[in-house]
Amino acid sequence: MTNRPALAAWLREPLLHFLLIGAALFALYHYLNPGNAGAPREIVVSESQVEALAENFAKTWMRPPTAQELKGLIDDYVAEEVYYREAIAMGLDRDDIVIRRRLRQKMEFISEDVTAAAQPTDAVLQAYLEQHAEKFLQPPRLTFQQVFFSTDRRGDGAMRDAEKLLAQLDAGRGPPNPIEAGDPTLLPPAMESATPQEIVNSFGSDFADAVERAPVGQWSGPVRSGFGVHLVRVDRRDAGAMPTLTEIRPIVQREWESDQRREVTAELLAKLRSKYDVRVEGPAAGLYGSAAAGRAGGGVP
Amino acid sequence: MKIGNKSLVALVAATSFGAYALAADRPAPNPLNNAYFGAVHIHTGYSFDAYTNGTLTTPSDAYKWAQGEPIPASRLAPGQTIRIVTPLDFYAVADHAEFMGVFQKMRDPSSPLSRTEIAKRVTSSDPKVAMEAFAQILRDLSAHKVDPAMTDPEVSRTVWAEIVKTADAYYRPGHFTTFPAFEWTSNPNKRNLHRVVVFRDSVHVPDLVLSALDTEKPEDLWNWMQAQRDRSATLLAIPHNANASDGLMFSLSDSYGKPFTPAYVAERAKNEPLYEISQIKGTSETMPELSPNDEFAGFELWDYTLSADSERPKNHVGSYVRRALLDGLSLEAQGRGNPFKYGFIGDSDTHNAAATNEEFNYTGKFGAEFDASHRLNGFPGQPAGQVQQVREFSSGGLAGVWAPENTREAIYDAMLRKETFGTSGPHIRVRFFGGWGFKPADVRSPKFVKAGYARGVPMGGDLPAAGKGKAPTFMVWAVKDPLSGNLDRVQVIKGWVDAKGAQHEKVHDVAWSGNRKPDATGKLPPVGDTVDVKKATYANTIGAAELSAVWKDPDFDPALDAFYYARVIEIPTPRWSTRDAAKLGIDIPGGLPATIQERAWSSPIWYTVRKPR
Repeated sequence: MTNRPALAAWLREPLLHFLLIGAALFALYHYLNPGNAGAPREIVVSESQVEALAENFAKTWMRPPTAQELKGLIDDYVAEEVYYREAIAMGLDRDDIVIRRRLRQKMEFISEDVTAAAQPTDAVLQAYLEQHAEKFLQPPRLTFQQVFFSTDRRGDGAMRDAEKLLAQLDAGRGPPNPIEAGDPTLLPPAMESATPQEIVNSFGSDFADAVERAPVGQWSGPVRSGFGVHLVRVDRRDAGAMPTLTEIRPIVQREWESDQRREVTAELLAKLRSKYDVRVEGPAAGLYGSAAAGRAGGGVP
Repeated sequence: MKIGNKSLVALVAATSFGAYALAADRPAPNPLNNAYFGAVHIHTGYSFDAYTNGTLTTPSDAYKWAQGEPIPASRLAPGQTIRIVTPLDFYAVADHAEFMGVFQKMRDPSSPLSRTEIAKRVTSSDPKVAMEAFAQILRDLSAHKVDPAMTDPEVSRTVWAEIVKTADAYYRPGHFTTFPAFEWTSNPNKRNLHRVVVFRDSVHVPDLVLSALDTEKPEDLWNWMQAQRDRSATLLAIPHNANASDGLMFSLSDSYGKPFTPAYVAERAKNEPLYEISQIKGTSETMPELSPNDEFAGFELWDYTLSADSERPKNHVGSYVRRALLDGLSLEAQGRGNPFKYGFIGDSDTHNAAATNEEFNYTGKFGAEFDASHRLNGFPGQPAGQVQQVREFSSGGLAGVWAPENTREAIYDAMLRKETFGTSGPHIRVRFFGGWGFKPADVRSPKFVKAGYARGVPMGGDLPAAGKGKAPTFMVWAVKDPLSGNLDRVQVIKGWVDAKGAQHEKVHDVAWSGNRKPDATGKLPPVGDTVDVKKATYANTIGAAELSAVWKDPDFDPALDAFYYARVIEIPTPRWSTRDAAKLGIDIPGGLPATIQERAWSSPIWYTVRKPR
């Protein structure tokens, strides 16, 4: 009974997935290539190979190749096979940076696929959410309207006119649509569920700071910005808060996966590397400490 | 948690990235449209030329940066980060389709891979060597020399799938929009024909994208795009850097040297609604040689072909979009249709995930330019021509769209109908409406936007048929970026073709700050200059926060096709290189201008005479 959670955890272990995939690929390879049978100088372009070539062409161009194009594809494939075999025979693959890097990249993609296959439990994500609260804190949101008095247009009169309108509004004698009592502007007359950053983007930080402190449900001001003078009416203010996991699960999972991918790739490399006895020679051996006489890291991640 | 004091803005900016908005907070769509700012031309370490130039960043980093998170700056500056000051509304990673991702995994210095010659160069800690490797790759690509091992479709497909998945993971409808995108990097003989291809959704994206290794001909790209539409994808292509095309981008013949066919004209117009008018590799609106009477034409020009060998183009005709708009009118007047009916956006072309549109926060096109001294003085031994090319890089531009809400559908559809504008970097907002009866009082009404839509067409539109004896009127509004310079003036640029087929262009000042009066020749005096070059500062004591006007075309002839677009000019502010020089305490090198007048360009509005067919 006590073994069950441990077994379940072990089944989710990415290294296990990696080894199982590796074993499956190995078995498949030997099933498809039994003992490298056939004449060594024979190149057979099988029907399924031709189909694959045609399908790849069709995927790019959304139509099957013409007979002439197909022959071109096959000729190209044969040329590639000839070069490939000759190059391998000559050992040209061994010190080729591009080939080595491509193989390494494929290994890394396999390990990333393993991460992608892992489905984190709610408990794992909840712990991640709590550990990285700063990533997920919801900013406060404001819904407000503003009346604009342009200093370009009114000069010092902008402040005076704003105060006058505010006094009228306070006394209940304001116009039915106060926004039309101000100057026309490309600035938004209202913002809905806006974060402090979104308010800064349009109005600048002086205005944003002032509107954050404005009372709810009444006209207030005047507030200065780089554009002029404003009256503001905050209709709704939602305080910043920590969301629950249910509310933002896909986002927490995205961030968790991004961290996990880095960790799993490093972990797999460390485990694979521990199979090797790595020795660094020359003065650089000192970088690995004298005790190990240049043993480069061993299984240490 | 309740926070209500003055430090709130700073606190939120410092801790929360605003990236994780809840679905419940999605604002209602605005039928009169909001302005959204972003970029869809962003490269990361997944691009073949980015890694070689010090870039470590991934598509995830790009989306984090756009929303205000700090990300790693450069392979050459371990532990240092870059961060935007004003986050963006939409963003799309469009890595090069060629060799997608091949360089990204080369970085482990402990790897035995680094023994070989290429690895030594590509991963060299000497940026000069890495830059030279980049130049070599560009030369090879231009000469059709490609190592077949570098284009394995299997790995390309995985990388593309990864890019699409990442775009989905960061998409928050209503707050932050991402798109699946890639760049088709056609570069025949170092002449830039590049297009960024943007998909409206991630459901109908293909397994494989088209690369310039498949074809270098735009006609083939459009065929491929049609094939994607046939399987329910929705996509458009945005060409850029005609200035680096040596006249090829807007050439008047097709890829085979033949005159345009009706099919060519239709395909180009259908697939390419927008043109990227400003980006790091310079602007391509126009230049003094093509527009001698435009006193603002010489702005952030980057007069090179697309090579790292500082080669100059021979042809400027065919390389700038204003002339292309005129050529479009000429073709239309000849009854051949208009292949160059382009709306405008600005964009970045960063190769380091960060669009770097903020002049005061410029960190270079490549990771290797993160250090101010590197981007201004180059690396020891770097060829002088290459150093100068990097100095002449502009900071990134910005794409502006007028859309009802911040979603893929709304922003893509605004791009398709060309209700877009470009800026050289700042968040300048501009509205532009054309119609037959706007009055000066319309622009002074708080309901001017409603009037604009009700009685006219917005930027990117076509004027309806002319009323008898009437001239078109235009209503324009511009507002400054709170973190950038005030506005100097708003202009309307008109282009037309006369009855004899001659092309004309004219720049009209329609609104300006202060009490300036045009002189006898109609020339408006300069706004002034508050820049302290030594300290790299300026003051917003001149210019205006907002400018607006109703303008009526004084020379209208209803028998002649024409286009009109608005250009908004800021007061002079220090160029990024001036800020770097001040920081380093050195003189500005390379004859660079000390100040620039940043700007925004609206998409044009066209007037087309109805011709009997």
